[in-house]
Amino acid sequence: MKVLAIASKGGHWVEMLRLTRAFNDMEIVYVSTNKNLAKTVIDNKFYVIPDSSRWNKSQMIRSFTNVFKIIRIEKPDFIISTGAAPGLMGILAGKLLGRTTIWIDSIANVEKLSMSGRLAIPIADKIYTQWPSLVDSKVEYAGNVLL
Amino acid sequence: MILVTIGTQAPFNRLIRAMEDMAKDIEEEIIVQAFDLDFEPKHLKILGNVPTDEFNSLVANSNIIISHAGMGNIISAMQYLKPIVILPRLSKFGEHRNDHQLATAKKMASLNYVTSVYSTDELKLRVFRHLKGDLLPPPPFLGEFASEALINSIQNFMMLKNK
Repeated sequence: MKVLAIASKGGHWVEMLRLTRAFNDMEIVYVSTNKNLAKTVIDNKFYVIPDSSRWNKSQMIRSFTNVFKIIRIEKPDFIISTGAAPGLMGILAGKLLGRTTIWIDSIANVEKLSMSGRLAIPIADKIYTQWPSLVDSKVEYAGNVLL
Repeated sequence: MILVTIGTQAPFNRLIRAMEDMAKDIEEEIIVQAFDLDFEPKHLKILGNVPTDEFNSLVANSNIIISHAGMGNIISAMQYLKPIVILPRLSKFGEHRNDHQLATAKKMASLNYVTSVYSTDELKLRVFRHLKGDLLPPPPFLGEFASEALINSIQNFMMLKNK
């Protein structure tokens, strides 16, 4: 099995690395928005894509086309993201290419799901929040990246 | 050493100015990870964006950390058992697009993972109290990975889909 793990630099990336134990025995390909992060996953393949937010649509399209190409090359079974907008682009591209997709909303979103998380709901195969109070029929809670 | 860190996404000059004000009255070295400053600090040592390994050694060598409400920094502080003071970014000052950092700061403080302050005045008071002996509490220890339940749930879902 092969998993493509995509997360923006900063907290999203830190949260992703705390989940990697879920991918024991799988091949992991990482995607992030800062090339220096390759050093934190030296045993794995690492791709960098342009950073983006919903405030910059053309940059978001670049994130999307980059990650779309990576998924076509790597053919992962699963796409998993902890955010933010580039991660959502990964989920969207993965879904269009017939992959199973998992969105884990950042633990920073304590009052409501992130905008990217809300947009991921109709797209991703599985959506997690890290706060029990944010659970609904489509959003699951099973713990968080901390304790 | 006091480590001040604003993350990688946007400047946070309100925090840096508060630290510059305080630095005159603090003997301890203050190292600041920040970028896009709108003034020139005289009492702070400014580093730009720092690579991960270098950042980790700064965290390890610090006595306390002062930060925006970024989860990366909060997780680092917990992993190294360093007390961390959080000043959330506020949208009214143009520091973030929305006020989710305020909610993060309140939640993390309610769990006793961090000490949150909601203004630069409150920040100054709390840090000086710490330096006079009313110590900031250290966070609970954090292991290397997410909660077992979340890891298991993701694994179960993947196994189910792979059949």
